[in-house]
Amino acid sequence: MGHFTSTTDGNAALTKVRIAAGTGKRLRLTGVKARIASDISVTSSMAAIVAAKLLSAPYDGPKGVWTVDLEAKAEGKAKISASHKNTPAASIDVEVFKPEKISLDANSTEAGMLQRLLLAEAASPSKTQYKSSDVETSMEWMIVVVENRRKDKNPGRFMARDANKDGWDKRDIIRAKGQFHGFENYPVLAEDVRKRIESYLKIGNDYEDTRHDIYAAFLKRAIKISKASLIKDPSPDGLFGWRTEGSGSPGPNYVKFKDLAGQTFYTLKKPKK
Amino acid sequence: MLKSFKTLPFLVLMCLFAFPVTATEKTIAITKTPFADSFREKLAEVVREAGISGTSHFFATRYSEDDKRFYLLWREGRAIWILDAASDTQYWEQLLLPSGGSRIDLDKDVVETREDVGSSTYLVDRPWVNSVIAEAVLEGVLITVHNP
Repeated sequence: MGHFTSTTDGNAALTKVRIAAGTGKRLRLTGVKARIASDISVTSSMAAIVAAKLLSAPYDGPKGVWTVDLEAKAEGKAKISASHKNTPAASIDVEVFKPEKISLDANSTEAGMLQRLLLAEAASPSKTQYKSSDVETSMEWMIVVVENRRKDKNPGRFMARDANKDGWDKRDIIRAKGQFHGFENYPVLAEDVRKRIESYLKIGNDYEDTRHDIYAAFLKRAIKISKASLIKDPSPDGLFGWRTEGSGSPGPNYVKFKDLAGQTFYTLKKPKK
Repeated sequence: MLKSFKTLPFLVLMCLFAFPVTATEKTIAITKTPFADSFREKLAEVVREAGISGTSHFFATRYSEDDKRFYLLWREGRAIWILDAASDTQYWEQLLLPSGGSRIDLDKDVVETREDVGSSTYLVDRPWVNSVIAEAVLEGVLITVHNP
């Protein structure tokens, strides 16, 4: 008796799989030692929902491993069944879902600006050893830093400029000179920052990319945090800065608070009484 | 001579206290790991994307089992990356999609002193840069990539 597996883990038998409509997925059919592909039949119970095609060349003939390509056509559920010389060999349930498009808020909005800042600054999924919960917390702390700088009696000491008649806003803080790489001319971003964010969006919206899930979660995390209210400052003295771990220290007025998700967060030295 | 021998154990003890051997000495070179090939391939991609022809010289600092952070200096590209050998070593996305301040442009992101860094989240001071360069060039490993 055979079974279906993913292409990345040939040992774990799959009983179900989810595929976004309009995309494809490649599986392995394992444990079917057929001499030729035509001895194997792979069919879909609902071809209008998902079609299945067995490749003629085996992936690993001696081990009975074959390749099956699924094409998801419409939302719904179906069963893919494989048989060898009319004897049932394996089956898998397939659910085809409507793909979700992830996009950022307009760059003219505060949420859109914060989303772009978080995506640019937080540890990206390429740093896979970090826990996603830590990355989420680090994003929250970045919002805290921006807000603390905004509320400060003298945001000019964080190079903030362009205060309007109502005072400073987050845009003034984020566009401050030399503070956040690539954001001095926001909404125009430095090219490397813009390209990176575009890459994240591309991967997070490409269901056929094996990195899709982790990048989609990263994008959604930034969107969620950008709209969060009342994020608690973890430091009793207030967080006022961060730097990539290992990138040297900020100015002498800064005191390390904590390392988190690839960043080091800082408070300010208390003034001498 | 006898006097020297008597002082020798004392000197050895002094050295042990003055220069303790740590368990986290940086001895691992990225080029000697299972990730070496994927790393080189990604460096080649970095060079192609930058459109820099000829031979590029990359110097990677060594790291330890306890701390897998290492620095990569690209001489022709005038950049330093802060990388992590414990993270994604299949795609090495850290090289092409570096987050935050993990890629330093040596022409734009370096200021003279720590005071000049101030509240910046990404600027670095020259003494820090010089120490990283020295470590990479003098104690690290060289990787050359040729882009026709």
